[in-house]
Amino acid sequence: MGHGGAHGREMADFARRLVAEIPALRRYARALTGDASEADDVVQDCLERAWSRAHLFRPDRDLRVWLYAILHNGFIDDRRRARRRPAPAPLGDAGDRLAAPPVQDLDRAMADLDRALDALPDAQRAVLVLVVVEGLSYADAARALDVPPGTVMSRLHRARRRLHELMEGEAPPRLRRVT
Amino acid sequence: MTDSDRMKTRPITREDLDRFVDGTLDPARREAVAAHLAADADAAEEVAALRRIDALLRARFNGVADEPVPAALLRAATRGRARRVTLGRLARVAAVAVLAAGLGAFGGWYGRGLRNEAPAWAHFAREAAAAHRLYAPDRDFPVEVSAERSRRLFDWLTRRIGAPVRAPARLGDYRLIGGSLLPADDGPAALFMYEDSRGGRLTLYLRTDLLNRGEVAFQVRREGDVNVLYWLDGPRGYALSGDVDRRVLLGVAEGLYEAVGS
Repeated sequence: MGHGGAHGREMADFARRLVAEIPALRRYARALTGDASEADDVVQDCLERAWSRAHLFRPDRDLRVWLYAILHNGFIDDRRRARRRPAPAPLGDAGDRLAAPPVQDLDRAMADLDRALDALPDAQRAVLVLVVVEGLSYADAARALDVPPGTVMSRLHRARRRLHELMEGEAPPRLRRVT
Repeated sequence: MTDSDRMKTRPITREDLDRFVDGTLDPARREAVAAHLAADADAAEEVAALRRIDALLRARFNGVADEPVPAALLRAATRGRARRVTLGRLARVAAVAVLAAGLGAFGGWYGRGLRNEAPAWAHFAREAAAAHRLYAPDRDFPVEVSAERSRRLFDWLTRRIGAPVRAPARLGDYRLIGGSLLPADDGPAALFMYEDSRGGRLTLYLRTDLLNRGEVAFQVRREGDVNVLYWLDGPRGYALSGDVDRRVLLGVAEGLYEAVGS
């Protein structure tokens, strides 16, 4: 770390920009992990990694996308190491709840959403959250996840249908003309 | 057949529906999908279902970005900075960044340890708003000493308040027009008035004798019709008030801090 002059200002600027991204990182991590304290651990880890890789950040890149990528890699590593996310709840009980008819009440809908999200594969959940909640373009989501853009599209598609099935208890109607 | 015709006649795929919902189709294709939806109730229902899911997802997680930021994360984000910058300063600059990023419900995460002293600073914000309400509308004598004699203004207020007092000549589009000495409940306060080209006014209210230790980060508080952005640095309190959107205050907050920061 530098101790003054232009470098110090650069560091200060980087710090400020990181701070400004914390809210979005927390939102992404919360949706990804489904757990507030795990999410903040993941964000903290991401911020620490961002500092250790600050020299690799190119100013012409989108800082947020870069951070999402770091966060996601950390999340995947954690999961791989600790397998902290419990195995999907056995069908039967949970399956019945997920298959409940369309909900009227918002709390109930949110609880169903949480369960359904939890049942999605991590890779699908990540794409869904980046595009729908974080508002990334398919191209940026592809960069954040280090996958081809076509993969983003297919995962997004599968994630939405799966979520719909899990929440409303039925596969969405099939289109008649499917290529 | 033109490209545009091909776009219209190519069969609609289910991924087209995702793109339709995401708004990522080109105009010709979007039109084709819209026509398809009008004719195919199943497809229309699928699009409606996708939209419901998206809306639910956003409703579920958008609030997370408005939660107060835990201090541990703030430290992680700022710790790489040059060591000669003090943590207190860092946290304040960071606080501006967080506020500027649109965090409305930003709580006192940094001043958490000071919660037992909350009355000192809540009261301070109210005082500042009251002073703003009384003096800002005054078109005849809004200040005691004009900014044209700013040196004398600062010297006078410094002497009367008993601690160094100064204020920047400009805050964004607002220009310093002068200052006054005010009686607060239990001590003296300085009030600086700023005006923009349309006559809109902000006031900076300042005290140096608050019963407060430590720091309270930038906060924005609504006091009736006035928004007050304030922070405390030990016994010194600064409050910028205006009948303006909080974004206006946030927009000038950092310049203000740089100008008056100790």
